[in-house]
Amino acid sequence: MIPITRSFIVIALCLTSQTSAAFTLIGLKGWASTDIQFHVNPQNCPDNLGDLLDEALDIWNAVPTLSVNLSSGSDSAMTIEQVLAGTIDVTPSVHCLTDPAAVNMDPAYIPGAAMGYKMDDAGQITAGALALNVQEGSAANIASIDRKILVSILVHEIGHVLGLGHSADKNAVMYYNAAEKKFASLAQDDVDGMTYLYARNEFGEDPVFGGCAVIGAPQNHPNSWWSILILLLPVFAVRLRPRMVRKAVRSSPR
Amino acid sequence: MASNFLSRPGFLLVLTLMLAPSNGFAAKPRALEIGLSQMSYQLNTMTTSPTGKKNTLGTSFYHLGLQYHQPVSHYLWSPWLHFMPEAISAIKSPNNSSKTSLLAFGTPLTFNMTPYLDLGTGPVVMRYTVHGSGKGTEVMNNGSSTLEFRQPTESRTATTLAWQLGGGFNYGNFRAAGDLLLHGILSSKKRSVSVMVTGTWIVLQMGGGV
Repeated sequence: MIPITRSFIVIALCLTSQTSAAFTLIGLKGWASTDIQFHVNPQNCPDNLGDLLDEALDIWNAVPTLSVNLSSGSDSAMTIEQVLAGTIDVTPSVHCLTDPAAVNMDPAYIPGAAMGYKMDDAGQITAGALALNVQEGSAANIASIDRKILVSILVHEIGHVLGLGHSADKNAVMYYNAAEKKFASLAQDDVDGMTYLYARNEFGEDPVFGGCAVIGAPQNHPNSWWSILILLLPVFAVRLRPRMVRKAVRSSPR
Repeated sequence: MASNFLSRPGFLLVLTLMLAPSNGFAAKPRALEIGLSQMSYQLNTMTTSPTGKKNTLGTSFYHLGLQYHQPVSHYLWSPWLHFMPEAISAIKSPNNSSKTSLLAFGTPLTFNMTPYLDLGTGPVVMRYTVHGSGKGTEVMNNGSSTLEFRQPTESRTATTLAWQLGGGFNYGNFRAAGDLLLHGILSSKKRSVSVMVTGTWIVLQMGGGV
């Protein structure tokens, strides 16, 4: 046993070298609801924005540890000015701005931004909006950006709307600079941050094995008993076999 | 260099093969084993590159593990627990504002195919914990300016179920196992796969010493 014990100690010391950069947060909590619909104001937006948005939302939906269910909602006529003034019909909303500088977005550098946050007394987000730069001739106009990078930008801004701040991890989609990004995908740090805000519980209110959480309505009853039964399934599978079969198996040569 | 070597999935397997004793064969019923495992979490789903290119091997988690084989009919019920001691192998941020650890508990049914090989399948509970230990706010770059964001301050845990499919190679008191963990199998969007490589040694044989 002594060599084994030594190997444990050596490996344990090696493992301490693993590091990852930390995520940050807008507030201390995310949205109260875990079923969040993004409502697009189609005015000035490219025709394929709905597809791009769905693709970006599904990148977050795919994380197994998240309880949040993101989807596109009905179109909205609400303007970004109304959102910033606090007169909100639906939230979160998505807007394409021909004059992004009017809401303090530098059209030369900023393709998108999250804004219009509201929080309740418990610190949960109750409103937010995603603004995209469509100013003609500007360097950061989303129409001039490669599709994969644009999806990555949408994933980043959706992360902000949901409550994540920037990350110091260059691999993370929540890193402030998308200049090096060529693909839209999440890093461990992004998953950690979003799991912190929307931790999934399949022994509680969330459907087991991912369930139909991303295509169905939220359940109102706990899944604890189902989860425990699934864990004991292998034992039941054997114990519930007919007695005769078990006898035959026992008497057969091993 | 060292961390690159450690991130290779076969590292623990090779190490444990080197350390394995060579007396006797076959997986032993009523045996308690301890060991080490490496989990390649969510294959080809997440990135470890600034370009966002997906990493085929996912991200690595290292665990200490316990497993026991209880005879049930001519199968073995083989519950296992893999855990990451927070002080040792939790993945932590450089500024210590958060740590991440993954605890997994499986209850597979194992069938010895030959004296050397076994196959197993069953459900797995995974507890993914983010330990927030931030002390307030942090100023982050925002391109042309900076913004102040909050650091995480609490520990929050996601509990999910997965399904395990895999096999083991038994040699003396040593067992090397390779398993697929299927996440979100009933979901249209949350499906992903992890791979777990485990090396264990028998430390206690009920009804007979090791």
